[in-house]
Amino acid sequence: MILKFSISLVGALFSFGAFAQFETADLENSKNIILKLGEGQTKKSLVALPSIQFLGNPQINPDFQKLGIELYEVIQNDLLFSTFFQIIPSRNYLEDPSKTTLQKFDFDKWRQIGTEFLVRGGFKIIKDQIELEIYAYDVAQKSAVVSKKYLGNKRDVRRLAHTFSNDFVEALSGQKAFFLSKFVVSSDRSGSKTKEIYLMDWDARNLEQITFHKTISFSPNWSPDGKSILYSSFAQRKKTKTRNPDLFLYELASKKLQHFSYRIGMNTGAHFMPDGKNIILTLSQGNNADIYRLDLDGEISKKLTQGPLGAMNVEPSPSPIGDKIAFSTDRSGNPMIYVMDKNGGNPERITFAGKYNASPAWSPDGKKIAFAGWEVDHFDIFIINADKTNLKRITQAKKPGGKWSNNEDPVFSPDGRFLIYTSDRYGPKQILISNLDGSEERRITQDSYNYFRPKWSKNLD
Amino acid sequence: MSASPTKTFDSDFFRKALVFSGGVHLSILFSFIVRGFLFPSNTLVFESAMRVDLIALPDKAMPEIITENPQKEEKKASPPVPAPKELPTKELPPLENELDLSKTKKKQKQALDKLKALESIEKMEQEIAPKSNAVKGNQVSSGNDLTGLQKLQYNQYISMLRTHIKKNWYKPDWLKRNLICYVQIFIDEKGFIIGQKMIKSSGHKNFDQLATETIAKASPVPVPAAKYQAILKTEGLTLKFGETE
Repeated sequence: MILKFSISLVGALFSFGAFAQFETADLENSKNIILKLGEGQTKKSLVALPSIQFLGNPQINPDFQKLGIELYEVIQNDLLFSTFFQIIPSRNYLEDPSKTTLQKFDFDKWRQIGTEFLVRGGFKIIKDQIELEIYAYDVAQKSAVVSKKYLGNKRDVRRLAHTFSNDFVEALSGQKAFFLSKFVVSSDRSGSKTKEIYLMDWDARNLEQITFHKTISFSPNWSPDGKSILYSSFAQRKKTKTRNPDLFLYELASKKLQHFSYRIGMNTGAHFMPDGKNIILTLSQGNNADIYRLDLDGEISKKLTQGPLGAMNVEPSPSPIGDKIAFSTDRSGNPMIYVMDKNGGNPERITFAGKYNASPAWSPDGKKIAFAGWEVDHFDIFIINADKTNLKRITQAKKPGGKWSNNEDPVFSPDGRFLIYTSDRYGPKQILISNLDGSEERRITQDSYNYFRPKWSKNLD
Repeated sequence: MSASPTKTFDSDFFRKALVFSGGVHLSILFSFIVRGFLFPSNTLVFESAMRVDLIALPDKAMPEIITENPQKEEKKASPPVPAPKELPTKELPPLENELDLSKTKKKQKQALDKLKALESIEKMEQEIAPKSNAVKGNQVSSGNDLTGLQKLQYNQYISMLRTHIKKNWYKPDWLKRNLICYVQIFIDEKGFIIGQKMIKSSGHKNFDQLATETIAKASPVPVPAAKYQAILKTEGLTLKFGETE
């Protein structure tokens, strides 16, 4: 008794959940052998996703089929890209969903074909608005995980579907998905000799060109609130008629364009600090390409790297909480990834392998850094822990001709579960997505243009 | 004769050269000192030496992804269910509620019977377990402690059991990590899992259910040797699902 009391007292000292701790410890120390089965293997959940039913009058709304298909395709695509689910083919259904309602059907008929989750949705068209009524059921529990009505403009039909996908994944995993996020990217879509900045939904839809400089515009990036874009461009200066890689700040809502930093030489690789109050970028004042911090007036508030000896310091990338900055530098010979404090102190070399490591990007939890690494004749994507351990190759793919493809510009997804990067394995540089272990690689853009340095926003309103 | 003038010439030249050299060195040193005072240079940045290695980058390691074929439903041997007539019919209020949910009466009755059977077995096990090993009267119980070779064999069996159950233990990727539950199982002499009891829930409904399903799928397990059948049937074994990171 005294012993038990003292054990629980020790437990209380070490943990707030003293009781739970003691209970578990008691279990583990009991005479019974405990078979530890670990985390187990992971598997995909089987989802049945019947067509989204039209609940209105087909004669008044002749475009219902198009909208219904679009709703269905967006949800299907979202669920597949989440990698959590496998969708049951409709030929396996034991019940005809069109003969039952969204809320009254036979759970057992779905359970018998292995369905774990059943998504039943229907929509109405009210003038220019769509009302999507949709349920996600846990078939084993015979209960709804999500039951919602979404109302939005017909134009925003994809947005409605993405919103449901986000809610469904969040209801299961407790973590927000990324289906309402966007990419900003530089692309040669408007002509092979120019690059302009484009916005697109994460699934490469709703493409929108935001720059029209008719020159090379590159290295775009989001402000933390997702309302502005920073990018560099060789746009001609109005007064002097000269060109220089200057930095611009573009406000998406007001379309206001600000010539942000126009110092002679490079004004590139700009990145907002997470607090949105500072911008870090590479300036090549004098001979060295060094990393500087600017305030929101465009004034230099600090020079963060000092050479040394003509070394270049480029591609700064702040950690998610802004306490560290990863960058690439050739100060030790070959370009490698380094991490320094936000004020430039304590530079520390992170990568030692390969011949050329570039474009570092942090995971949202600040524990990992992805980068592009060159060894013999091509770039591949790698992930390393911020504490320099566990270096892993994520990509390794050949082009149709048999040569190794280049995989560059990695960025983590807002939920930290995926990476996107550009790859020339299909010919042009396309955007790909994969899990953090390199599995489930999929192509996001499906065209013949080149994309450079995509950056991923948070979920946008 | 010829050696001495050469010697004098050499030492003179040497002395002059030495003085000249010293002068030049001193003047260079002086000019640097003056320069250092008059034109201070930029601050030098001293950094610790870095290891510069050329290491090959690692190859891509592909993980295994488990997908299920939705067309096939796995059919497993069902656990032996005692005849319903032997079972007590009381104390099953939660099952009554389930009646309202289901529509097909026949199927539901079967399921109900099965659940009743499982529950009653659990109850019977709890009742029987302490009694079976109790030493009463002038008899000596064989006891459940295993020692020596038997203990080794038992451990070997346990490890086999672990591999067997682990094969059936998988969970969806969306389920959070750091969930743990403990389930006690009872195994009969033929290897069937005849009962299971949630000792400590993970607090997550889905996770607990998956643990329960895993056990059902794993039955029957490898047949235990006669020596430790009693332990497995009465004391059972505790399974720990999940782990803390």
